[in-house]
Amino acid sequence: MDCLLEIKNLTIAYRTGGGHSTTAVDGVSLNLSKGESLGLVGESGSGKSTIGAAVMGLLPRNAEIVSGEILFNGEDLLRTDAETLRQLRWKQLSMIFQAAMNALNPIQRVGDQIVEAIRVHEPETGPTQALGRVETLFHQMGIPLERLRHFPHQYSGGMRQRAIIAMALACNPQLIIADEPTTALDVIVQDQILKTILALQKELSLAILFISHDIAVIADVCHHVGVMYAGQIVEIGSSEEVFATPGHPYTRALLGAHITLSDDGKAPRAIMDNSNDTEEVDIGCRFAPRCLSVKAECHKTAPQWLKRSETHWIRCPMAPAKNSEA
Amino acid sequence: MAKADTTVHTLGTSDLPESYWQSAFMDNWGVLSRHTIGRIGLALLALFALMAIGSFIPPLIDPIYNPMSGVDPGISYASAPSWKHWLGTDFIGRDIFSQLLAGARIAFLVGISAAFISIFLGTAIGIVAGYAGRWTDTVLMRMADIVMVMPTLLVLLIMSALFGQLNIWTIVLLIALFRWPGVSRVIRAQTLTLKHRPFIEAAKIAGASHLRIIVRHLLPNVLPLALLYMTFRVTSAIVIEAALAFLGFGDPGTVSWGMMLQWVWKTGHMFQAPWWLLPPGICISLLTLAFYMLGRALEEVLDPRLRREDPEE
Amino acid sequence: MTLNRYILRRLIEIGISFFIILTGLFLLFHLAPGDPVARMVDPSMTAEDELRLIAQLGLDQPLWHQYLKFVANFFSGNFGISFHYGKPVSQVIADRLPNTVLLFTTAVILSALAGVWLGKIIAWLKGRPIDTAVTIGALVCHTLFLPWIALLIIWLLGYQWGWFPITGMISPEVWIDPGATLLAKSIDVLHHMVLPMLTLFLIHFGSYLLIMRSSMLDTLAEDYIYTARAKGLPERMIRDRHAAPNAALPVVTSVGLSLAFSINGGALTEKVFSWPGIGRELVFAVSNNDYPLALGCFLLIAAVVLLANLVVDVLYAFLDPRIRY
Repeated sequence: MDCLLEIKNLTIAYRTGGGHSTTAVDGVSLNLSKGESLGLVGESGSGKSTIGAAVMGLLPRNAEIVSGEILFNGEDLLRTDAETLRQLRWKQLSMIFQAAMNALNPIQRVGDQIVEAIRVHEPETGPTQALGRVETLFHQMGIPLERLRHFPHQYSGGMRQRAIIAMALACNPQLIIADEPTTALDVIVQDQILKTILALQKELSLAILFISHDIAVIADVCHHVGVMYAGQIVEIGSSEEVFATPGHPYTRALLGAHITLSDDGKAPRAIMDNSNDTEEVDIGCRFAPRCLSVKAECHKTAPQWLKRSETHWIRCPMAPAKNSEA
Repeated sequence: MAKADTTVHTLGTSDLPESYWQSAFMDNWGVLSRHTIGRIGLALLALFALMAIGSFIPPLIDPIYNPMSGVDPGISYASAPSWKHWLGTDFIGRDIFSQLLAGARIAFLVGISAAFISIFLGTAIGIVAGYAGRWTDTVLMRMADIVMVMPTLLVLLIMSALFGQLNIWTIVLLIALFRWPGVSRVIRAQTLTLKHRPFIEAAKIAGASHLRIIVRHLLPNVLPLALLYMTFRVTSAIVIEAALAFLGFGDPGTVSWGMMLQWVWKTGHMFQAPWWLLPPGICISLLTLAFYMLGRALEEVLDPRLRREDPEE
Repeated sequence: MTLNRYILRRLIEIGISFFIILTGLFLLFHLAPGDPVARMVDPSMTAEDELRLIAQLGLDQPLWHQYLKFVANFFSGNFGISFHYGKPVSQVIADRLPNTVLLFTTAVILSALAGVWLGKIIAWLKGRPIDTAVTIGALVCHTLFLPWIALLIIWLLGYQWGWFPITGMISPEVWIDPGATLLAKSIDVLHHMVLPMLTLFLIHFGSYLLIMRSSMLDTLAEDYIYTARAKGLPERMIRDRHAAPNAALPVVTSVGLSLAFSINGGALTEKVFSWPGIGRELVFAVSNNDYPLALGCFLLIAAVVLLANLVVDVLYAFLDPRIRY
């Protein structure tokens, strides 16, 4: 398989002061090929954003890579020097962030910020040429050209997000990490943005690592989905498989907590509200304290991977057999 | 992104303002005592406090050590440091070391009283402005703007012109009268955030009078911030008094460091008597530095905690 | 609101503030113990001159009338006659004002630029020994007592080493010479300016550096810095093009806020170095009981501070596109 991104057994911890550390990502492995999209879904604190930051090489200073590899086109990004990594960034892999008010430099014109990205990575490009490329991007994203001279605070949330996407595409990367790109937007705009991302992905054969806490969004856009809980992937598979026949109790709970139009009155089942503290549970399944299908053994033995199909893996021995209901 | 390590405070359900204040104080003291800059600042302050207290001793040992009037029968000119006069004598034979100690006393006196009064004024005005809102707020803040814009030293000069030689307490009062705006702005901002918190609403519904709300509920939450700013006020008060004395408009009956500098300068001993020129200036600068360090340490300790700790939780 | 309307609104605010100050001073002059008339008119004048001046200044009229006259006089630039100089106060001020402006604005601008530049570099090196050293250095500079450091500078650079003149703004020999070129005169002024400017610079530079450094550290936590890193920009570019311009904005504000404090320092510096500016004039006037001059100087300084605040605000509005657009 032509693997663009391969994460092998990645474990990342944060030093929290006083000699303590919290494991944010615990033995995560995943693959992503060119033209595919993988969604990572989980609650806040599940470690999904950390993975995104790790791939880009943007982990904060108190983060520690305990073990694992991140192979991008065969190169281990974790063992690449800072300067090579810097040059790689944006050219090969770029990022789409939440369109927060300050995601873009507030005192620099938006057009200039994108031109900057182009000219840093492709220095032979002259300013007019670069501007031309930005104009094309804006056209693609449906942003009026006079907006190039505007400042970020003059943009609406959706437009800002589109500008951020345009910026991410500026150097024609192979992989885009989208970290909660639609979280700050209202549903209508969200829908537009997702459709745009989908279209771009098909057109440019982009690989996308889509990180979100919203399972509906992932379902819309991604070919594959990985469900994360407390730093581990608990279920991974193609979208059809996972959503049609969810195996892990957490996945089922997430889907159960999600309201759709076709639910005809069934109340959403909330997941027991507890802190997602990865420090506490060392033995047994991490989800056991909140699991509805929990058995005695779950607290004692760490769950093993169960293979449901070539592409569908579940990390729970209690997963019901295929075709059975929750 | 990084996971923040949030320590959650569990407060008792007893009457909130007092227990919040106490528990916050105990926690903050712990952090403060470990803060390096804060410790240096405190050490310096302790040194100066010792000097201030010690200023009463020299005249008791021997009248020639009196800072204002102590004349050594043997020396009536500026002399270099010696065993008898540790820092030498000034131009009429007075002991410089005892003057330095007396200056410490005056500095603390001026600094703390002026700061106290301006904090008092500033807090009162800030709370009232924030709480009352509308016209009261606008008028008070306008006033604050105008007062803030005035260069305090120059105002004091004008006052001196009009009222003659100023007495030290007048100086203190005047300094305080012109330094409150800074405090009041911060206090007002804090009051505004607190004004709409549920616990204030609850008090209102329970029928508490405005005064009661202000004193019992707003004040305790605003006080830490006020005290923090006190450290900065102290330094500016000391410096202004010193500058005033330096220019020759201080209280002639007091020996302050600024006054000492004035004497060095005016009597032309600037170039010949470094033992006289250096100590007062070093003291003013170091004391300012000490209070500043303390202020910075307090700031790091109090401010973020103040924002995070919510009294109704 | 657009820039013009903002300026207009601020001008009105300043006008009101100044008016209040004017009124306050008027009341002060009349309510303070002593004879208010003796404050406006030199008692050593001849009786008829005195009467004439009293009539001119309206000092024999009821208080209300006097107040109006006072205000009218102010706006027509008439502050009375200086006791000491015997010249109209406005003329004395006109002579002195440029000197103060020259010294003061140069010092403030230089120290702000230097503080911002060094602060930006130092913040990026946070934690390293050089950061600690420079920060402590800046802190020490910030807390130095201005008159004292002025005296030290005079002693060291002027007296011991004799590099610079220690008083005044000009050397009379240079200026009296009819053949003296403009360049020679300018150099002479600059030569005299070095020591007082150094004094002002040291004190202000420290505080601007500290503010810029702390502002930079705040900026580093912002989202757009993360974005800039993600974009793969070189560190220097992130620091200079993204962090520094944003971090410099609060410094601009603080220049405005510390203006009153800076003016105090300016007056002290002028006095110590005998630089013939408004600050020194004010101190002289107070020592000599030259009330009209003192009042005039003070009012002018107040007006200048208010206007300077306006300039700073406008500058800020101009620099921050969030306000401009």
